[in-house]
Amino acid sequence: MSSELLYKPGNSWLHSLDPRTKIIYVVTSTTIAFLFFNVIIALLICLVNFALVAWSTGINVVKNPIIKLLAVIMILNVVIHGFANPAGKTSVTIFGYLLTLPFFESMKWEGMYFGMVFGLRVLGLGYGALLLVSTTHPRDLINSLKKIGLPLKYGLMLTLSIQLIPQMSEEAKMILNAQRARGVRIKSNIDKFKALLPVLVPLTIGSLERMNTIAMSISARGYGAPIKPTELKEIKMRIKDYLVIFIITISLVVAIYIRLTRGDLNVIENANSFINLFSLPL
Amino acid sequence: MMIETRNLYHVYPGNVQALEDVSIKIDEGEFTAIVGQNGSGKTTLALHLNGLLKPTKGDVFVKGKNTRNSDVEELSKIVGYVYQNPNHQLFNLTVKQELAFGLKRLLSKEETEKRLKETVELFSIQDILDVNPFSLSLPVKKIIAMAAIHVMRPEIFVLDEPTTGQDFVGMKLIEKAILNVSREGKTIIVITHDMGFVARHAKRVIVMAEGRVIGDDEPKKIFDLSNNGAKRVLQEARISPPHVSLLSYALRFDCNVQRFPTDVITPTQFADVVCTHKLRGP
Repeated sequence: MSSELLYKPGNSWLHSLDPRTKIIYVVTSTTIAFLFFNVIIALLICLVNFALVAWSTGINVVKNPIIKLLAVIMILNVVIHGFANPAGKTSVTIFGYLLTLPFFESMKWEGMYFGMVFGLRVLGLGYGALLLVSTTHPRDLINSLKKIGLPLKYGLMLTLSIQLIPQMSEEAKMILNAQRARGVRIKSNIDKFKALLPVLVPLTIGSLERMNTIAMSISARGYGAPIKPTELKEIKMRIKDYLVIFIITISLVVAIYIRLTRGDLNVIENANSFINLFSLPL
Repeated sequence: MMIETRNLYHVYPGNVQALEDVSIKIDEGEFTAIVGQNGSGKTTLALHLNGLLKPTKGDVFVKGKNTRNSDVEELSKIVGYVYQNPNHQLFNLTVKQELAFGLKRLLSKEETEKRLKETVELFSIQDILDVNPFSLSLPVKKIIAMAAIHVMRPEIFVLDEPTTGQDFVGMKLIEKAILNVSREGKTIIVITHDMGFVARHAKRVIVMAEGRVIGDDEPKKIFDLSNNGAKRVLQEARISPPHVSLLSYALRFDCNVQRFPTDVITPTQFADVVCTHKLRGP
C-alpha cells in the first residue's frame, strides 16, 4: 500500500521542482488545451504530460489503474460524442460498413472529433494532475498551497484527509477479510454490494474514533495557538523553477497570440475522414 | 490431523519474505500458542489457515483440504478467526443480531435459536443480547466477537492476540471464554505475546522468528532456561519467558537451591513445589 497516496518518491528533475512551478505548469497546459479546439494540440499536451509522468515516476503506463481509467474516459467520450453529438454529419464506414448502435444514428466523424478533443483535454488535465501528485510529497504540496494562500485550517484538513484515505483503504481490506472469515461471501460485485454494511459500519466507527483521537492529540500539541506555525521543511523557488516558469509563460503568450490571430484551430467542419481529424490549420 | 503446513513459504509484494519453510502439524483438540516478535510471521501463518492468504510455495491442509483449492467462505466453516480488533468484526445493532448474522442464511429459525442459546450460555452473555455491541467495553466486545465465531461451530479457533491491551478483569473474562471453547474439544490456536497466558493454558508452543519456526514443544520445555537449546530459541525469538520461569531459574542457579526444578512456569506449579516440600533435600 502506498502510504502517501499517489506520490512516488524519486530523484527526478520534476521531483526537485517547487510544487508551485508544477501547479503553474498544470494550470497553463490545461489552459492551452482549452484555448484551442484542435485534436493535435490536445493530443500534444496529453502526450507531453504522459511522457513526463512515465519518465519521472517510472509508473507503469500500461498497468496503472488511474491511467487506465483516464483511457476509458477518453474512449467513452469518443464513442458517446461519435454517436450522439448533433455536430455529426459524415458517417464513419469501416470496409464499407456503417458503425451503428440501437436508438442512435451511425457514428459520425465530426462527433468523434468533438469527443476526441474533449477526451484529450480531460486526459491531458488528468496526466498533468497525476504528474503533480506523483512527483510532489503531499506535505510539500499542501505547504505550497498554504504559501499561495490556503488557510492553515484547510491545509490541516487536506493533510489529514490525505493520510486517512490509505489508512481507511487498508482498514477496509482488513474488515472485509474479517467478514469473509466469518463466512460473508464476497465473490461477485453483488456480494461486494451486500457486504457494504458489514464493512462500512466498522470503518465509519473506526474513522470517527481515530479523528477524535487525532483532534485531542493535535490540541495537546499546541494546534490552535495564536501564532503562525513554522514549517519543518520550507519550500523554496530556485533558479530552475524560475526558468521553467519563464518557458511556460512564453508558451502561454505564444498560444494566446495564435488564438487571437488564427482562432481556435477548429477543423470540425472538415473532419470527415481519419486523416482530417488530425489537421492543424496554421 | 486438523492442520498441516508443508514447506510453506509466503512472500508479500515488494519481495518481503514473511514465511520460510514452515512445516507444522496440529492435531484435533490441541491448544497451541504461536509466539514470536512482531513481524516474525505469526499472523501471516494464521491467515493461511483460513485461506485469507495463499501460499507462495508449499501447501496448507485444513482437515485434509488444500487451502489453495478452497475459498475463504468454505474454510470459514472449519476455521474461525477472531481478529485482534473486535471493532473490525462487529457491525450489527444488537449483540443478538451480531450472533445470528451468519446463521440466518444457513439454518432454520428454530435451529438458529438453539445455537444462539448454547453460545450465549457458554459465553455468559445473556444480559447483553439487546445491547449495541459498540457501546460495550473492549473485553466484552472481544467476547462477542468470539461468540459470533463460535456460533458458526468451527472446529478450529484462531485467536489473534486475544489478551492484548486488556486490564486484569478483561483478561480473566477472555481467558475464561477461551477455556470454555477449548473444553468443548475445539482446536485452539492463539497468537500472543502474553507468556503468562501461554504458560497457564497452552499445551504446545510454536516459536517463530523471521518467518521460520525455530521452536515447537511443550511450554515447560520451551521456557526451561536450564536447557541451552531452549535458551537459544528464546534468545533468537527475543522472548522473555514467564516471570515464574525466571524466578525458578534464579533460585536454582543464582541462589543455589540445588533441587529447585527449572521447568516450573506457572505460579500454581511454583506454589506446589514450595508447599509440597519438594525442595527438601540432603
